[in-house]
Amino acid sequence: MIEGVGKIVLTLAIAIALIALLPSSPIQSMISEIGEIEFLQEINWLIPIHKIYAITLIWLTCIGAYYLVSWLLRQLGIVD
Amino acid sequence: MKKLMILIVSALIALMPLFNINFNNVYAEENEPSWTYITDQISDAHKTATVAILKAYLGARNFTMFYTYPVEKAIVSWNYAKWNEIAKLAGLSGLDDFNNRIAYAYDNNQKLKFYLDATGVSMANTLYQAILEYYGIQANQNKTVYSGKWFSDDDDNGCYVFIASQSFNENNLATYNQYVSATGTYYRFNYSECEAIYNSLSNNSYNEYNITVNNQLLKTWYLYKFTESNDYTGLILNTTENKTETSRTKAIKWNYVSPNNKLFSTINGFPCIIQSNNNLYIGNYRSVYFDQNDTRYTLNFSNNSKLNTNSAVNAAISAAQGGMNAGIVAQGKAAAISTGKEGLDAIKDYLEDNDATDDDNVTPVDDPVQPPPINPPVPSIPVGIVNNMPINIQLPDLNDLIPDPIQQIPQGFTIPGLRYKFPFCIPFDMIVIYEFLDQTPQAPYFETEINFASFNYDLIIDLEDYNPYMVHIRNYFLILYIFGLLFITPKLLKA
Repeated sequence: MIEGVGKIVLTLAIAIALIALLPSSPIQSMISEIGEIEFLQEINWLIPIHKIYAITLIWLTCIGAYYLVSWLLRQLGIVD
Repeated sequence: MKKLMILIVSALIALMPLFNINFNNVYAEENEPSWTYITDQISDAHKTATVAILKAYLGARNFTMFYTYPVEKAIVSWNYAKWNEIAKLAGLSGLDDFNNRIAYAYDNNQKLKFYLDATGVSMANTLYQAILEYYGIQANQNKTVYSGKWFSDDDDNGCYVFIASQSFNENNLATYNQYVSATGTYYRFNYSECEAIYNSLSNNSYNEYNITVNNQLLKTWYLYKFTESNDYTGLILNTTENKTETSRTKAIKWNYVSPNNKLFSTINGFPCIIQSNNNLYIGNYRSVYFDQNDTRYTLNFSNNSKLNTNSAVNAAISAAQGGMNAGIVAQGKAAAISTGKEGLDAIKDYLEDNDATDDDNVTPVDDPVQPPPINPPVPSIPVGIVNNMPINIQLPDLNDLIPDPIQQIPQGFTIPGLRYKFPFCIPFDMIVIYEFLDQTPQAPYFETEINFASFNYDLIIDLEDYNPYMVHIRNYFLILYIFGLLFITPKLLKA
């Protein structure tokens, strides 16, 4: 029992240590450094970039879902 | 390599619940204001002025968040377009004029903040007056604050009011009359006719006016004669939902009559309904004022500042529930709300949940609220009583209004801090990028000075006039983009 708990704690400690070693998000710091983009509102007035971005995310999700399901079906031998 | 790609995509999909981006924003109303702070450390006058401004827009339902914040000055934050409207509502030429009188800055979300500090006292009062008049509060008819911004009526026959089935171009009244006559019913009453209606009605009774287009009944309006006292009597324009409403801070208001039967105040716009391409639009025209000396003034609200009373919203909702697409459009340039039935259902739910302009409940001024920056417990801000007309704002529940996508992730679903570590941060990065790009569209405005020999000319390029068209162009652009994705998707999947 104690040995099992010890293994769990050790695993968690290793996981936390590994996570700590991971690099920080480059995007979030970059965005905060950029602050604001001049004329972004004007660009959005002409081309709805933020909406295009959102739609693209949705689209990529759908594509990803397709690949995931295909992969699963192949693994299960349902399709070739 | 392909397996690696599949693995990455699968991981992304598995993490999709963390995205939690409010994709409804893709189709959300544009020009949405940002959020607002009001401090408790400012004077009551400042706070009242600020709240009064908010009240006008609470009625417009065009705000998203509103809460107090322990800062040194009153901060009101909206986007540029909304503040431009407010400035014009106050009788200013625009935001530039406004800026000369109030300090401003950008917040972290690139939204303009305005500081109603000591230098903005007069401005705040002016705005306050404007808002109070906008809501028809009698005690604040000090026209001097609108110096040079009052216009006489273009019809010298006296006060006239339309209860019409069509919106119209205020600069072309003849065209409007011709158009309305051909397509739908309308009612128009000048000063003496208003007076006659008032005299013909017994106290607390009403006349009924049906608006039809193509023989189809669109709406019924009621002219109600109210008599609460000798000083407070007149005609008020109400909707079916509340035929005997007498509150001057609610709904459509019209033609108060003084004890000597002089119209001294006609507040708010005229309800106009326009049907176009199976869309029903509801809006107001403009306000007409009378002072005590029977001198006629018209406050010509610009853009959409005069629209979006509760009645207009309710009417739009009613229309939408009748199976029509409905919206509330502005006179002139900008559209305030344009949405379909689903959007209006949301508005209705919002109205039911947050009856922000209900002035029946007067909450006494209690201890000032000192909320934390996030989730402050601010149920309401009482702002006092003006001429026995209570002004009270029921603030919305911020927990419902602050859409922090990260906070909405179920507890225990993620490890704190993990969202900052690569690669687990990827979904959150996408949220950050989305929020970064999600800037309110703003029409380009360029101003430059051309000096050539003795020729000096200020070149101003302002594309704001194209705003109504750009909304459609942007929508078409999105449709094209979606079609483009449709075409490339099969190719991608075959690969």
